[in-house]
Amino acid sequence: MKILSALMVVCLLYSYGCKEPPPVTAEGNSRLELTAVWNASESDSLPDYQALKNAKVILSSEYGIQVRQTDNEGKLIITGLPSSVYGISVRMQHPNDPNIQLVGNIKDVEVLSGKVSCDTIIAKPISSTGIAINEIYACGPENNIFFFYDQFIELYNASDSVKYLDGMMVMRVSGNLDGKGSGADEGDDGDIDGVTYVFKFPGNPGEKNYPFPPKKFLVLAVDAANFKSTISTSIDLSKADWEFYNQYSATDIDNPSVPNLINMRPDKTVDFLYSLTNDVIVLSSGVDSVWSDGIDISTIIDGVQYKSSASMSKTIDDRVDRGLVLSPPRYSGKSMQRREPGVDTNNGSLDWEIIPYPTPGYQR
Amino acid sequence: MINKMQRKYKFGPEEGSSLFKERVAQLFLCYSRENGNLFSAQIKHFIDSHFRGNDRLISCATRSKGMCCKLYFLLIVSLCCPSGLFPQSIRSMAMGGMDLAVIDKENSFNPFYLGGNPSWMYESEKESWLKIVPSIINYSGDYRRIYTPQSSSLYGMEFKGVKTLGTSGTFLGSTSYTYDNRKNVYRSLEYNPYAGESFFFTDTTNSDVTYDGPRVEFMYSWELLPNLFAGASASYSILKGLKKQYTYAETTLRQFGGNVGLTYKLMDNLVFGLNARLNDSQEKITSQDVNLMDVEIFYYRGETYSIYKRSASEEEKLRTKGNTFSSQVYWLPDEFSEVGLTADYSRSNINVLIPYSVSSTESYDEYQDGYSSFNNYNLCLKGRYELKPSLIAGLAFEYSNMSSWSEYVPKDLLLWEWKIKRASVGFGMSYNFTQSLLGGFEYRFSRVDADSSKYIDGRTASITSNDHLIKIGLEYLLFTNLKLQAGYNYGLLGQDIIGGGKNVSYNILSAGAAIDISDLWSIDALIGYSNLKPDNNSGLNRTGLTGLIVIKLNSF
Repeated sequence: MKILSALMVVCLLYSYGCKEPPPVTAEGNSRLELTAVWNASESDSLPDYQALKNAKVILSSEYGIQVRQTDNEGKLIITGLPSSVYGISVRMQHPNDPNIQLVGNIKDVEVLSGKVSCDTIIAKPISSTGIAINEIYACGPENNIFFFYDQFIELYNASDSVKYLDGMMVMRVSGNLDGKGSGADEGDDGDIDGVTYVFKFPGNPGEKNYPFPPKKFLVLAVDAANFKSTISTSIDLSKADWEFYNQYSATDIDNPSVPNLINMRPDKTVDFLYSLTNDVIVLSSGVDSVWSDGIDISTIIDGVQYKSSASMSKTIDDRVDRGLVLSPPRYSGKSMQRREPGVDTNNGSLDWEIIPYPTPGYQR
Repeated sequence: MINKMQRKYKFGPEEGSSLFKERVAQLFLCYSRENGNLFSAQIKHFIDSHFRGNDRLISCATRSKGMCCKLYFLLIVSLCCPSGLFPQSIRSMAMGGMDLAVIDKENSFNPFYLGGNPSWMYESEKESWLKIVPSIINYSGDYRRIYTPQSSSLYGMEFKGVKTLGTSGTFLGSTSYTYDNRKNVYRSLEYNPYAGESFFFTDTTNSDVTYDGPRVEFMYSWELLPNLFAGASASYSILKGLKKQYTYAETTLRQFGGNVGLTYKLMDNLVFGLNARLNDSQEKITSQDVNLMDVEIFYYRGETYSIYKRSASEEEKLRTKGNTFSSQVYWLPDEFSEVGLTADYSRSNINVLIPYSVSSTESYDEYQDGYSSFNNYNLCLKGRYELKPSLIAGLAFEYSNMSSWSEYVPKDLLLWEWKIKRASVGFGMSYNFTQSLLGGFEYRFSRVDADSSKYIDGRTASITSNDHLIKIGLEYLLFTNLKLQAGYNYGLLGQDIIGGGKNVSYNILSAGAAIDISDLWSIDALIGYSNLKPDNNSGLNRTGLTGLIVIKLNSF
């Protein structure tokens, strides 16, 4: 009996002594105060900061994307955000010029539970005056036979003038894996390395034979064919504007009614196919066409790196793009597209989004 | 006197009553809000705790779904007793779950049946028997939580036997197989998503999910010294699960449970007992598209925020460890009364582990993403008194205190915290109207106070609920070898802290038959129906239907 009593006492002591205390700090007890302004003055010496009223605010973190809106004073107060490091982008159309977007980005805003984070975002006018890669469809349609040949790249001329495609190059940059990675400036010599596929518009840079009208989309199909006849969930690209055609391949499809981008690398005998979930796509002016020693960054018009996880490391040079686009799952039928046509703030993480279906030649 | 009391019955001693019957009966008694359903949830618990084993019950206790979730264990504990591993017989279950006023071997308040102390099996089980138990359980309905299956069908088969070895002790062995077919499970990939922790693991599709697997258990009890009894049990089970769509998530759930105990017979009518149980389980979930496509997975921290991951394969592990210390007092003041007291303390934890690749070595490691801690205190006092030879009265008081918190480990942040206190009192009476007819009723009142703080979700709640439960049971001796039982329960929950409804009412109908084929074997059968619905004209409800047969061989 004494033994039992002793055991009982021990158990009671154990039960009280071993109760674990919870953490002191509770998650979600944070406050983020943002003020978004832009300089309406035409003179830098006399700034005229005005509030970005009702502007779209995009917050990205490990918990995904949240979209909010500033109030009439350009302020946004968010409470209860989970602790994380946020990238924040504010966007609004210029009040007087629809061709200009007011865009402000800040990175690495650390929101901590129990603390107030304050920041001011100063938006700058981004004049959409050039050609940008606007959509990349890479993952393939919904299917279980590993079909992904309906890939396409969409360009957008965001300027008010006609641009010319003569001599421009579209590249897949998936090499340089032993160095800094695909699209990095290996050797710090002002170019990006790892070019694996190069396809080129006809003509030479500076010529004006292949116009790209303003505010127009241009679809560059891997193959300009109606893939719906093969896979019902696929798309019809038979009316694409351009087609990648590898003249060194014996099997590549060539739609005679669609002009071609042709292969610049004789050692590559397959079509311009790119990875379903992880790759770098670059559009350059073609002035530097010697791909073997890297493509000069100064000749690059736009570049995008997409990966399957936002936590994966970005390798593309910051001068080409400072962000990483999250790609959709393989064979999901989803696509990657800029949030606003042609608006490139040089941060793919914030500029791009996943859309539920491809939109060749138009914006969702 | 103790043995004498144990063998006292109104009529037709339920010699064949078994441990598993107790569990079934427990299920009738207990309103498990896990599935928003009474009867079937109770049955589900029966499957969990019986076929899946004692360790599973501990697991339920330790993961017992917190404020919003965790009454699974709480109600079982509070309605049936703290560590009710061996609750009612199928007989009392068929009589509406009456466990206070109906004397039955397995309704005894001794340390074995009331406290789950294996050491008292030596004194409690004096005859050898073997039971074969097939069962079918189904529940369905839309009154449920988001990750609860729309319907579920459980099929079980168990073989269980007790072998008395004279002065060498008593041995119990059981083996069982369970098949659980869940229909229309919304996204969740976990076997028990409402275990009380703030972590959920989901994909993007609704689908059917099946779980199946065996379980074995052994128990041994003997008299260590004069009047000092010792006992131990061990159980092991493994479940394989498969989601039949998209991510084709495969689950491997293995559970180990142990239970050691001592009881000391201080006097002829007074027994003290102590036992300790431990539970160790691991649930490994692997999602990998069979077509080598990507799978999209969400690791939820709380109910609002999740981490999205995608690759050819994603995996999560839930590791649960827990132990329970329990003490019992069993007292027979005279030959007409019986008193049992149990008090126990459980604590456990769940670790959420997520693998990641170490790219430089191409090897894999795990990091701890989440951690949950659970603490439960339970007290149960039950008494029974024979007012007259034909009139039995019973009383019960139960109290439980459960608390839990969940942590996001990498940042040491508190995600969820909840506490539930529950106190209940009950009384009942049974009366032999004739030599052939026994009837009785029981009433229980419970008060539940629950506080929940879901910090990451920005939600807090403080709820008080007054719950009522009325039981009515009848038993009729149709022939000398055939007894029929029937029962009805009506319950009212002031506030369903799990399902969210107010004034939730539930009804349970049960019927059973016990046939003594010969001295060598007998058959007991049970069928039950339950329905639960909130009082809001929403049309939502949850129903359950079950069937159970016990074939008992009195010697083997």
